[in-house]
Parts: sequence; structure tokens; C-alpha cells
Amino acid sequence: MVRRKHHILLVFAIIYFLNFGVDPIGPSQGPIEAETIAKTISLGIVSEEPRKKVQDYRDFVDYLAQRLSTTSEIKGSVIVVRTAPQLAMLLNEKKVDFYIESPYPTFLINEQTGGTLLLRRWKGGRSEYRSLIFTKRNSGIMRLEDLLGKIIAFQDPGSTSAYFLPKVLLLRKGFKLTEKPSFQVDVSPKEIGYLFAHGDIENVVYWVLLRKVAAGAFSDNDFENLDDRKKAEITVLAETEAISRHLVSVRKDLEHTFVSRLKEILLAMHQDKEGQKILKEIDKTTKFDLLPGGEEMMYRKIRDLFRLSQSK
Amino acid sequence: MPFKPFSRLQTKLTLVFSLLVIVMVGIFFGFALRVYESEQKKDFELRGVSLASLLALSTTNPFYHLRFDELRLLLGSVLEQPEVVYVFAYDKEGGIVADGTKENRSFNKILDDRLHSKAIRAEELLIQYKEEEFRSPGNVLDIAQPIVLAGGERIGGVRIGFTLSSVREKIAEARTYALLLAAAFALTGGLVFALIGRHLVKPINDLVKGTQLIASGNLDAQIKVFSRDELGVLAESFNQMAGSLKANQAALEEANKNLEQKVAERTHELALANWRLDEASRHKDEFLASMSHELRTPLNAIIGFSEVLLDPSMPVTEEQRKQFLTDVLNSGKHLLNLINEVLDLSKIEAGRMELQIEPAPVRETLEMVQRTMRPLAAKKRIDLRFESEDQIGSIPMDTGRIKQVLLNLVGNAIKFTPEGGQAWVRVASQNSVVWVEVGDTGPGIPAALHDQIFEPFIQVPTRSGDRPEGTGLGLALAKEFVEIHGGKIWVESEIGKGSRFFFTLPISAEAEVEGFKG
Repeated sequence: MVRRKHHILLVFAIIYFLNFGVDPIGPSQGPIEAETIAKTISLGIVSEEPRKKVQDYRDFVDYLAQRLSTTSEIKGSVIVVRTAPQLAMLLNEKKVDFYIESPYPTFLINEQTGGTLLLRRWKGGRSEYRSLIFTKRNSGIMRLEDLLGKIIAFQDPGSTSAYFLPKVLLLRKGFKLTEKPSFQVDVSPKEIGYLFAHGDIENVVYWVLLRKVAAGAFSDNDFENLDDRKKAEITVLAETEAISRHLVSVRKDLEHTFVSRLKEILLAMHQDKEGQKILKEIDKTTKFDLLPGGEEMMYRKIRDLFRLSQSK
Repeated sequence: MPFKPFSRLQTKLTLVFSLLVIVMVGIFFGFALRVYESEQKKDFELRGVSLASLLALSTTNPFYHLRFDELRLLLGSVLEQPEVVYVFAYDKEGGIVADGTKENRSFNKILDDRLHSKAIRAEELLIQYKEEEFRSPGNVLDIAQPIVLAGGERIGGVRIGFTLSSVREKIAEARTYALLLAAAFALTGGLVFALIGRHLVKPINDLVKGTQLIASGNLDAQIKVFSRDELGVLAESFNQMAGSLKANQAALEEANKNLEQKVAERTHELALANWRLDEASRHKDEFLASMSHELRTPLNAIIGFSEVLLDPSMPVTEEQRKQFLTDVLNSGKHLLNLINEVLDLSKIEAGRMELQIEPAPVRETLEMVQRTMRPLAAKKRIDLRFESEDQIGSIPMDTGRIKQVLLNLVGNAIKFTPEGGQAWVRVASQNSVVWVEVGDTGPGIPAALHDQIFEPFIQVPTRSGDRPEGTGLGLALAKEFVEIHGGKIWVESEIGKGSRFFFTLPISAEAEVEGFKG
């Protein structure tokens, strides 16, 4: 467990330093003072589009802050960072009070910060999604076994649907996975090579369509978003089990009553028109609901998957 | 300044200059538009090339690493530019890798068009146009820029299509401005040239008006042209010409006036001459009648008495015979005298009269006349007196002719003076001139005949209206003879107060007779 923690920390450190040029963007560009926490509700977001996210989530945090202001006025703020480790740091520094992420990074962050799961987010009317392993139609790859000696493209190491879940699937199927630095390297016929496309999921799609890689992975939601032409050029080889799309987490030492109040507001948000309108602005969120089976159940499921992904 | 309608010349000048301005402005703005269009095209191409080059440069890394999201963002940002109608990133084979849209519908397509075919073969920057005509609607500037790795390997390229609508709008706007400016220039130029034309034409108009006034006869008109150029000189020349015309006209009028006066004078003289000719003719008729009478009377007497004397049937006494012969003699003398006078007058008029002028005593001549005329005066009981200054001696004269003059004057005095009247001859000298007065107490001569009586054949009618005796040549001869001597003869007379005839003779040949008038 200690070794595993160290490994995770190392991964986070590498990712952090790879993204050293990125600063968090929010109402205050500098560090957020601890005293402000009591008077500010800060939302942390990981995104490559910080300005857009700040704009999208502004009304959301204001909505929450307004309703949290019972005895004293509370202001809302949005802090956008490019990587999960950055978000973890801000949580540790109490500069972020809560955040919304997919299950895999949520697990990693909460492991590091002691944060707790709060609610599930629905997006586009769906509470869960699953991961698909796909290849280009007529590529000659019909089964997962056909991927041996070839390369599959994942999105990035923090992606749930485009890395974590498909990797777990392949590992469960008994394939050996090895990360490769580029398309051009040879892959042993006994293993499946993988590399990260980074950036948007479309990189993975085009790599597959251009046959730069034998297969790729993305969520069923990503598949739905493809245009018909691309859909027609894709063949799905496998799909993973469903998992919650996004989870809301709070930092570990946030006041309990405050957390409870936040939970109540979020759960009720979709029930008034203003809340519905604001939810739609934040990545087409439908609503927030309670974690199915509770926090422990959800956490255990993710942890099991994580352990599987780390196994050799 | 009140507005005056344009003259024809001014209108022509204005039209010509305005046309010139329009042509020049048209050429200028046409050329300027061409330059502007060329510059716009160059600028537009330069912007396009800059953008394509920047895009190719910035897409090299994501293109090489197949970072489609970055390609989408990069090409999408280009596609958001208002002038960009399409953007493509394509691989070496021409297959579209990204088109800047989220859907990327052109992905993996190979466009089958001329521009794309040339673009994928281009080793370096390529500028193309969809239409050959730069300004044709729908034309697109297509710039292709190969994507080249640091090692020089061409791995693909980017193409950007730019709509030329903004350039066309700018050119159209510039054309509109140019047209407006050209119109403004032409209008301003036209107005300026109209004013200049008016200024230029004004002296000409003034000249025209002036010349029209002069042509209408108003030579006092002065053309007021204040310019010092050729028009000013021309106006000055016109003014001088008008002045000369006026002077010439005045001279002509004066000449006409003089001519008319001369014509009148000549006409008068001619009339007078005609009258004189008529008078002369009448006088000649009268002379002929008179001469016939004068000649017939003595001839009848001569013939009659001669026939009586020669007719044996008629008894004539001696006394009668003697008387008849005397009458015949007298008639012959009278006839001879008459003929001599006619001959003298003819000589004088023919300029062939020759006088024998030599110093002769005046007194002796007077005495001779006195002796001759006294019996006649006595016969009519007329008191004839001769008075002469003692100191008068000899003077140069033709004694016979002067005697003839005196006999004529004294004879007339006796002839026209009634019986018992008086006649006199007074001779005096003054200022080297001898003047002679022959007067009488006769009936007098009308003033109208004072000059005429010295004309040949002019006679003063008698109181009864009859023609007097005589040839009518005596006074004419007397006048000729006196004037030949360098003297003058005239008469002073009033009806009922007698007559006084005067004539002068110079004492010496050089004597002046002017101013000698009693």
C-alpha cells in the first residue's frame, strides 16, 4: 500500500511538473487565504479551457453561495487548474472546498487529500457511462486478441473512460499492456502496446481512423457525439461496465453543517427553474443525486478497479 | 455681384475646361483606383500569406504528432476570421486532416479541384485565385503553405481560402469615393473655370459691347478693359480706332459741310453765271434789237434822204437839200460811232484793246469836252459847269479814251437831265490819284442798277419807261477804259436826287487807287 502510494505520488509529481507552466485561474490569481474559506465557497475544476470553465461555472457557484449565506454573506469562486495534482494541492491548501470529477481522478485526488465523496452528477440525462474499445472498420481487427502486437491509444493517464476503464478491461481479459513512446515502435506479439494521445478525445479517434494505432478507447458518450460518417467508420470491439459519470467531492476538513447544507442545495437544484438553467450551463448537467449504495460502496468499486489497473 | 447669364464663348470655355477637368480627373482617379486595387490585392495577399505561414508554422508540431484537437483549435481560430471561407490541413497525399470545424467533415477527403491539386504539389508558398478575374463575385484567394519539418521534409500543408468581399467592398467604396471626389473636382473645376472663363471673357464681352456700340454709330463709346494683356491692347486699339473714326467722321462731316457750302456757292455762282448768261443773252438780244434799231434808224435816214434827193419827182429846195445832206452826214457819223464802240468793246473783251497811254494835261482834255458838250447843254438849257483844281497837270492816259469816257458821262448827264437842270464836272487830285465827278440833277438811278449799268447793253429806262437812246455800250466802255488805266468807276445816285458818276485815274503808273472813294 505504501509502495503504491509512492507510485501514485510519483505519477502525480511527473504530471504536475509536466504542467508546471499552468497556473490556477479563478477570481483571485494569487493563493487564496485560509480566512476566506469561511466566507467563500470555492469550486475546483480540471480543464484545458480555464476561462471557459470559469465563465460556465460562475453562476453555479454564485447560486450555491447565495443559498449558503445564512448568517453571513458567502461568496462563490471557481478555480480552474489543468491537472488533477494541481487540484489536489489546492484541496490540501484549503483553497478549494469541493470539486467535480470523473471517478478515476476523483479516487486519486481523494486518496491524496482525504476528500470525501458527496454526490453523483448526471450529464445529458445520464448518470453513468461506459468505455468502448474501438477500431477502424475494415481494419482487419475483429477481436481484442487482434490487438496483440499492436498499439491502442488512450486519452491521458487521468481519464476514466479513455484510460482507466479500458485498461482495466484489457487487464481483466488477460492482456499484457505496455506503454509505448510513439506509433513507430515495435510491439511484442504477446502484448498490447498503448500510448497517450493527450488533449481531446478526438485525437484518439483520428489516430484510429488514420490507422496510426490499431484501436482506441473512449466513452459511449464520446461515441454518441461522433458524426455519422465517423460512426460508420468505427467498429466497437468491446465495452466496459458502467460507472458513474461524475462525482462531487468535498475537502476533508470542511465543516459538516456546511457540507450538509451544500449537499441539500445541490440535490434540490434541478427542482427550480433557475437551478435547471444553471445546471444546463455546466456541461449539460441534469441533476445531482445521492451516490448509489452510498459513499463507501462507490469508493470500494473504484478502488477495486484501481487495484486491478495497477496489477501486472 | 449680380449673376449674369453665360455668354456663348464663356459657355464654350466652361464646357471645354469642364470636359478637360472631367477627363483629367477621370484619368487620375482611374489610375489611382488601379493603383489602389493593386495595393489592396497585394496587402490582402500579404495578410493571407502571413496567416498561412503562421498557421503552417504553428501546426507543424501538432500536425506531426497528430494532435487533432490542437489542429482543430488552430484551424478553428483561423476559420473564425471573417475573411476566411475555408481552411484545410492536408497530408502529403492531399488528404484533409483537419478543416477547423468540430465535425471535421472534410477529414480524409481529397478535394478534387484545381486549387487543391496545385496546392498538394506545391513545394513552397502558392497563391492562387479561384476566378481569373480578381474582382469577380465569388472569387477566393487561396494560399497554400507547405508544412515542413526542421529537416526539410514536407509532411503536408495548409490551405486558407479568403473571400475577396471585403476587398471588393473597399474597392467599391474607393470607387464611390473616387466618383464623388471626381464629381466634386469636376464640379469645383467647372465652377472655377466658369468664374475664370467669366473673368477671361469679360474683357471680350466688353470689347463686343464696345464694338457693337461703335458699330451702331456711337463713336463716343469707350471700351473699359483694364487688363494689360493683349485684350487690353486690343481694347485700347479699339478706343483709338473709335477716336480716329470719330475724328474722321467729324472731318468728313466738316468736309461734307464745306462741300455742301461750296456746292451751294458754286451753285449760286453757277446760277449767277447762268443768270448772267441769261442776262448777257438777253442783253445781246436787246443789243441786237437795239443795234438793229440803232443801225436802221440812221440807215433809214440816210436811205430816205438819199432817195428824196435822188427822186426827180420830188422837188427839194436847196435849203432842204442841204438839210437832208446834213442829216445824212450826221446819220453816217452816228453809225460810224456806233460801229466804233462795238469794235472797241469787242477788242476789250478779246483783250486786244491797245491804249496809247502817255502823259497828257488833264485840263486840255476837260476843255475839249467842255467845248463839245456845251452846245448840247445849252440846247436843253442845262447849266453845265466844269471845275478843276489848278495844280492838276498831266497824268499818264490815253487822251482819246479818257475824253471818250468824259463825253459819255457828260452826254448821259445832259441826256437824262430834264431841261433847266444842272450838270457838272469836277476834277481833283488826292493821294496821287485824280478823281473826276460827273453829276447831274436828273431822275436818279435805282440802287439795284448801280452795278448793272456798267455792264454792256444795260440801260436805265426813262421816266416814261421807254428805252433811252444810245447803244448801251458807253458806260461799259467807260468802265473798261478807266480800269485799263488802273482806275475805278462807280455811281452814287438816288431816285429823284440826281446821279454822280466818279472815276479815278492814277497820277503815276504806280499810283494806288485803293481807298479813294469820295
